[in-house]
Amino acid sequence: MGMNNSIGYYPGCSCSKNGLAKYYGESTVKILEHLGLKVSEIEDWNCCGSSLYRVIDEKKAYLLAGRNLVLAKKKSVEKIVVPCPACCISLTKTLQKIREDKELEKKFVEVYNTGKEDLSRIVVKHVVDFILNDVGLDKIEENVKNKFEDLKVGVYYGCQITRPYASFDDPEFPSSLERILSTTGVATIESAMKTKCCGGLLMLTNEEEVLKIIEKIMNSYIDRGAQCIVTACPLCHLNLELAKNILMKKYDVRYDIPILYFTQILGLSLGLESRDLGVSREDFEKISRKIVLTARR
Amino acid sequence: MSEVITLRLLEDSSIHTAIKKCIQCGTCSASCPLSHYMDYTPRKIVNMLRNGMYNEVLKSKTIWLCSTCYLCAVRCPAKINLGEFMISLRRHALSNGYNNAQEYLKLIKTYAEFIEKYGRISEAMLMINYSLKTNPVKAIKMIPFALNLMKNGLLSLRVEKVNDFQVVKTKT
Ligand code: SF4
Ligand code: SF4
Repeated sequence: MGMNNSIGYYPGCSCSKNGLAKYYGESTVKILEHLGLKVSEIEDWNCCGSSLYRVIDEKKAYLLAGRNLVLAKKKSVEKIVVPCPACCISLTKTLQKIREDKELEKKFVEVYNTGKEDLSRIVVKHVVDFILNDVGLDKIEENVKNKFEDLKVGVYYGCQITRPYASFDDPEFPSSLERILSTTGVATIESAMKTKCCGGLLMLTNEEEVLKIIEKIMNSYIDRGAQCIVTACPLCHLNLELAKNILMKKYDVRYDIPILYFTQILGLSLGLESRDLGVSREDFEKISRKIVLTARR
Repeated sequence: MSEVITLRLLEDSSIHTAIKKCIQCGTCSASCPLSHYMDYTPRKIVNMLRNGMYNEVLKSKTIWLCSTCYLCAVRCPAKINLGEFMISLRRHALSNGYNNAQEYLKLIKTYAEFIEKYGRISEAMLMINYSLKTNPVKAIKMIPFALNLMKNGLLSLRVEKVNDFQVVKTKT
C-alpha cells in the first residue's frame, strides 16, 4: 500500500459519532488503523442525501452528495472508503452522473469550480470491498490473534452492498464477507436470503410488511443454527435490532441472538478490545465462549 | 393531468428509458420483495405509463413501496433500473401535489429539514420527530428501545453542523 495518504474515509450520518451505527464506523476505523492503514476522515463532510433527497430535488441531491467528492479532491484523496452501502450508492451515482450529464457538470463547475476531469480519479469503495481487495486476506491472516471455535455466524449482506453499481462481487450471491470472516475461524451460515432487502426506510412507514420480511430473513439463519448474525450495513443492523426486539416479545428467546457488524467479529479476532469495538457486554458474553487464543507471535 | 406535467414526466431519463426499452417480461415483478403489497406490480406501472395512465401511476401505492433494493435492476434483461425509476416517479408525485403517501411525505419533509439546517441528519432525532408527527402512540412504544440504545451509548441527540454549506441555497 504505497499511497496511504490518498485514502479518505466517509462515515456518513449513520456511522458517524452521533449516528446509531457509530460502532460500525468506529470498529471499521480501528481495524484499518490496526492493520497499519492511514485513513483520514473527509473533513466537514455532509449527508449523502440517500434516496430521500432525490425525491425532493434531483439536481440538488447530486450537488449535495458531490460536495463530499469535491472536499476529497481538495485533499488529493483518490480512494474513499465508505461503511454504509447507501452512501456508497449516492457517491458512486453522483460520480457517474457527472460523467454523463453535461448540464450537471456545468452546475458543478459553477458551484464548486470542479468538473468531471477533476473528479475522474476518485474511486468510491465499500469497506468490504476495500478490506478484501485492497488490504487483502494475507494481511489479515498475519494479524489474527484470536480464532473463534464453533461460532456459527449468519452472514447477512442486505441488498445495496452489491447492487446496483458495485462490481466486486456477485449482486445476488456474494461471498466476500464469508471470505473475510474465514480468517477468524467462525463457521459461516449461508442463507438463500442473504441479499434480500431488509425493507430499509420502509420500516418507518410500513412496519407491518417489513417485519414479516425480516422475520423470514432471521428464520433462515436461526433455523440453520446461527448463534449471531453479522451485517455490513447500518440500516440492516438497525432494522434487525428493531425487529428482534419486537419478535422477542412475541416468541421469547428464539430471536435473542447478537446482531453484530462484521467489523466487530473481525476486530475481536485481530485482538482488539470489545469495548473499543462497541460490542456490548451481553453480546460479548454470548460469543466469547467461542473464542480460543491461538499462539501469539 | 396537464400536458406540461406529462411532458416533464416523460422527459425524465429513468422514466423515459423504462418506457422505451421495457419488454414487459415481468422479471422485475417476480423479483420484487414488496410486489405483493403493491397495488400494481412494477412491470404493470411501466405499461400503465405507456398507456397514458399518469394519474393512476402517481396515485399508486407502488411508487412509495419500493425499497430501492435494486434486485429488479440487476436482473432486468433490458438493463432498466426500476429503483431509480420509482424515485423519479415519487418526485413527480410530490411536485404535482399528489399527497396520498402521507407518512412517506412526512418522513421526507423531516429529513429535508435536517439537511437544510445542519447538512447532516441524526437518525435518532429523525425517528423521534417523525414518530411524533405521525404516530405518537408508536413513539411511546419505542421508549424501551430508546432506553436500550441509551444504555449502549448510542442515543445521541446531537447533530453536528456542517461548515461552509451553501449547496442547499443553490438554485437548480
Ligand atoms: S424486468 Fe425490465 S424488461 Fe422486464 S418487465 Fe421489468 S422493467 Fe420491463
Ligand atoms: S428496487 Fe424497488 S421495484 Fe425493484 S425489486 Fe427492489 S423494491 Fe421492487
